[in-house]
Amino acid sequence: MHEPFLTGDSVVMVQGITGKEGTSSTISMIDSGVNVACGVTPKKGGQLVEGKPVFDTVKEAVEFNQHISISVIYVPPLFTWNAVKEAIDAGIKKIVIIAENVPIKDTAKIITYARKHNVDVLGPASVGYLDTMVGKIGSIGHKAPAYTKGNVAIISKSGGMCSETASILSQSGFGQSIVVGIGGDPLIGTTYSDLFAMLERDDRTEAIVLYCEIGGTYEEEAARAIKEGNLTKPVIAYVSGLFAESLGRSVALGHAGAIIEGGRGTAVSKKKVLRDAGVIVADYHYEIPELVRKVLKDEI
Amino acid sequence: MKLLEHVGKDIFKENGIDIPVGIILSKDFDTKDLGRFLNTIKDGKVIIKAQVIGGKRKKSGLVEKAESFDEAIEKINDIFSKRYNNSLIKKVLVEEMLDIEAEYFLSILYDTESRKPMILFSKSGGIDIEENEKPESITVDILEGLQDKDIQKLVEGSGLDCDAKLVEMIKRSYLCFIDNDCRNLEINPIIRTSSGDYIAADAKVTIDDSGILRQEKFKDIEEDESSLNDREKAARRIDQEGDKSHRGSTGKTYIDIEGGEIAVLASGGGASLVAMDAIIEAGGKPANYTEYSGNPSREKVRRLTELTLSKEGLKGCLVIGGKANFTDIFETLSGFMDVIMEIKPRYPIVIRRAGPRDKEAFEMIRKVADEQGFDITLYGEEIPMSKAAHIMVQKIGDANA
Repeated sequence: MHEPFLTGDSVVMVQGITGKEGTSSTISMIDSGVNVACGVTPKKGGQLVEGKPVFDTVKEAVEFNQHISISVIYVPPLFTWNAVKEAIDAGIKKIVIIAENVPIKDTAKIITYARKHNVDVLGPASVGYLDTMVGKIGSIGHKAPAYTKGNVAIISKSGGMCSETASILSQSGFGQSIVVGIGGDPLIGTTYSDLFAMLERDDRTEAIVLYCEIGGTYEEEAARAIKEGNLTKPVIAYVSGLFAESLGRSVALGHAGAIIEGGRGTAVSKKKVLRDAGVIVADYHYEIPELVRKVLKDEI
Repeated sequence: MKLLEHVGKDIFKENGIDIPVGIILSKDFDTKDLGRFLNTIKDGKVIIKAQVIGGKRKKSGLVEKAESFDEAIEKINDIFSKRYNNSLIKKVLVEEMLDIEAEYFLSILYDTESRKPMILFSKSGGIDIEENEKPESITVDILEGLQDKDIQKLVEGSGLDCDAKLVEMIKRSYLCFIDNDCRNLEINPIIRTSSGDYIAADAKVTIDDSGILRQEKFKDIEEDESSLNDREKAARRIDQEGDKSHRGSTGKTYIDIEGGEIAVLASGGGASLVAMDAIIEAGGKPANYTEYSGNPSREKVRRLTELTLSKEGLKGCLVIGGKANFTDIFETLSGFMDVIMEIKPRYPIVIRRAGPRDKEAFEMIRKVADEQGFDITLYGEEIPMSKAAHIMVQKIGDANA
């Protein structure tokens, strides 16, 4: 991803707008200043949600407003692949998937299909995307005291830890530029390093905080990208799941992707790889603001 | 869900993958069934395997060979007398002994680097595959499907000549993996017999917990829980039993930690990990890992709390989570307090939580704590999550000082 996911010109559509979460998210997206044009729910065409028209198909929605650039998907997990395919077929280039528990097979299909059509997919199980100067997409919060305007970007596998991390930064006087929930599934459409080019070009962002978890290889991929020079801004990372190694069994903890398999993807190994790439690793989550302060004052 | 070997093999068979002829026996098996089965085996030689989830079966003495009816009975009874992960053996699989010309390794999974299905293959299969050379691998375009030329590349890359029967077996294994919503499918070993057939001698299959909902055939398969203790088994049932509400997920993962002192009730996937780490970093010992989220009912939280606090040797309890978007903090913490009122613990309790109706909840808890003399400390978002965990550990130290 080279350009910001969300800009002042973005026009958003909500698939699954008539559901409980779809509706409440629509309200808060509008409240954050985002232009939500309409929504889609099969068989519910003709209704209005928050004054926005609902259509049966994405095709009709795109005919209604040709400027739709982003679709936020709030349909249930087993219907997500079809909803994403419908959006991509209608020419949508940016998609955010909020649903948790999307089957891994469907996610693999979504990623492959999106790549073939040059589409950016955030999620599944993404809490959303927030630009404190523009607004938000998805279920992520956007209000102070947790979220404040500033120059620190956050990328997090956990939705809850987006707000927790923003909250401790805001309390220390460090506002945020862009906050992205990439989701904690084993396969995700946008990884940490997929966002690096965009954050490198974002003038506001002076430091990037990564909330990382055990399992998978996305932290290793991020370290590799940083080592290769794809991101020159300072990066502070926290890796959770250290305790998992002492459990002596291979089980997903909290998120489907947070699982140590065959001794790979441990917190210790991820911290080492990140440190070796020049990332500042916080041993305690609450140390993050202090490390950000030091980095921005050139003390590290 | 991890499948027992014989269940995995049933699925292989449905997908046209050859498996050895076998019979599944439970502890009270009829020796006549075994006798009839042995009569169908040409030399009467069989392999007997305990049906358990997990590795090192052979090293645990749970895989035996027998060459006669009497020996088979003896070995079967011997296996049934053993334990695996502290659990009894419920079933054994008795199979014909194959004449082995070669043993290969096949594994199919989702690769996080390419974000595609990946097939691994090695011509050196068997129990010590991990110590052998790195398997050959290919990734698959899931929308195009697996192509013969890819399989050819895989097999030839591993140093074998491409054999049509082997190609067919790999193709069917991939389709089996895709059609059944597998997360992992491993066959180790694939046995090449002297007659040139390829047979799946073992099956390690994990079905994706998210995809299993659309797989009718797995609805009646009971998950093997022999590696779980009673508390862990009970926690898994909270979401299905007793309560009519379908809201939330409560205790889907509950893990007892031996020697632990701090009961943990965490909300949120990330928060639960951060809290556990923070306790350990502060020198504390968590007694369990568990998580509830998605606005569960008071009753569900009550049951999870009851289980979590039923452990011996607790010195504290940490209830921890971030700021909830829609979980009703009053309702969920009421479920927690129902148990506290009942068992009246003397150890310190630290609660760090925020979200809908949190003020109401905190007021209620303060009132109860004052009346009953409970040591409960309440925090909202003003204290970082990891700090709250540190405070929990400190309080235990202070109480014991």
